[in-house]
Amino acid sequence: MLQVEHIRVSYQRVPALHDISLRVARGEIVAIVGGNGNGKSTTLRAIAGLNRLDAGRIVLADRDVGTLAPHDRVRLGISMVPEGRRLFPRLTVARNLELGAYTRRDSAEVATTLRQVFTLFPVLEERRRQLAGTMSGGEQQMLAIGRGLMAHPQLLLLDEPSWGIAPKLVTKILDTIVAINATGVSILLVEQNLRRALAIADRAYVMQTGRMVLEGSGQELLESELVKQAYLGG
Amino acid sequence: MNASFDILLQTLLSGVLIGLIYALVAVGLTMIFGVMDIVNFAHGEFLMLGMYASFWGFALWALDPMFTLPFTALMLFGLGSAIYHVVIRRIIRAPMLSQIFTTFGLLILFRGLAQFLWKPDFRTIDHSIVQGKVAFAGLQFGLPQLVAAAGAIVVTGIVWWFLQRTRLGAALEATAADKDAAALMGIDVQRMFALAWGIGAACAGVAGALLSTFFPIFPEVGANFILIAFVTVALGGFGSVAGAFWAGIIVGIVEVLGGFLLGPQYKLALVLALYLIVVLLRPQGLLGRA
Repeated sequence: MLQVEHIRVSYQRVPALHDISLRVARGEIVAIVGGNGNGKSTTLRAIAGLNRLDAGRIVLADRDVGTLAPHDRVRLGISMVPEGRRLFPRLTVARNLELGAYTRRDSAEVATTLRQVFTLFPVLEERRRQLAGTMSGGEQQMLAIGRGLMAHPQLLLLDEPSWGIAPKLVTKILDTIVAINATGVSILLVEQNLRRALAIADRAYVMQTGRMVLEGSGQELLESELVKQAYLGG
Repeated sequence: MNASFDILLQTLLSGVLIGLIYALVAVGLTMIFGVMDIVNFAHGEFLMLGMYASFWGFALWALDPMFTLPFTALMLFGLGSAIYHVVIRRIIRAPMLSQIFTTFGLLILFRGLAQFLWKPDFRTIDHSIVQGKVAFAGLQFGLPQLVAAAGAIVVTGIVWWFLQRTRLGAALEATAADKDAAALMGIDVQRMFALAWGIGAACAGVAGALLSTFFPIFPEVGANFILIAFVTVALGGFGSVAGAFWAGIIVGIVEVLGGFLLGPQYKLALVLALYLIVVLLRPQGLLGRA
């Protein structure tokens, strides 16, 4: 489904990603874990098209999308729920969701997706006339994910979905990610909450200072010495 | 009703009429700023070009400015988006100083071109279909001013409707709020920037066309409006279309009423004093985001 091959990305000539490769097979949940500032978000941004590649390729379903603008990648089935949610706070919940479906012309299909989103997150239907910025962190995260689904993606990129929300809601959000995956959407997830992320991921990558240092199934990584020492406190 | 009250009311309403034109100019300026954080110093030149488009339509083919107005709007829309694609696009990520020099350079370019091509003379359109005066309830207004104010309301209303009720308008608002998030929605951000420049230039061009029936037309005419437009945008709140509209009316009233009460030489000083008060008390403007 997604094949990232040897990409390099820099911010104002300072390298941020060195030769990153990863793949997401159709129907998989793949997690990228690692500490802050190691390039996890930059990797997702590069896949979505927000950061330009210095080198390497990004192949989506046999097509090189690495040079396309972000909006063209949305059309091809990549949707991203960005770090910090990036909702349109002064627009209503309904308007945020509508904007999520911006690339889609068939209003009947969009209405179907909207019903699916409301089934996943009933609170969004109750709050649809409320301004997005006035909701709680957890509700905003649900809206951000719902908005990402409105594009009807093949691949959903999720950047820190547990960021800034109450611990009991984290479980709900992660369960929902599994449910979304069960509908056939492949998922690439960046998470600080390593234990939780590895628990739901089919496979995972560990990133350190702009490089992939480890790859394996969620279970393998949970048991690996490096991960235990570096992230799980021995 | 006594006579001095009549005069005061007459002056107040005259202020509202010119204020509506200021509002339209400011709506265009605030739209460009709101969507891409670039201050367009050449905005007055879009107004000047709208005036000349009206003038030449009238002088060459005897077409009334009110008739050519939609074409003027389209022409300026095309010019605005072309300027975005050819010039502004290259300086989006440039330092602010480069952006200022660039739009200031456009100002000099268009003024120079107008002087070169059309001479620095004052021109007027003398026999438009809108001329003469209208009297009611003891008050008297020029028909051109009334028509211009009505036109400014209609065009501002169309822009407002477009932003609030259409898909493209929502995309433009989303781009103004958060460019990366808009791109992730599948919005072509470059296209939105060009659209903002097109609409911004068209607003100024239409204001020029509406003014052309009662205001002299000359290459530097934009200078009379750009300073007031900046004050209006700041007063309304940078990037706020509704704010620019109400601020335009307030600026018009302050200018005309203040000029009447204190003397016309203080007109601009009063407008700028109003600006200083706003900056001190409410720097985000009337409807701006804090």
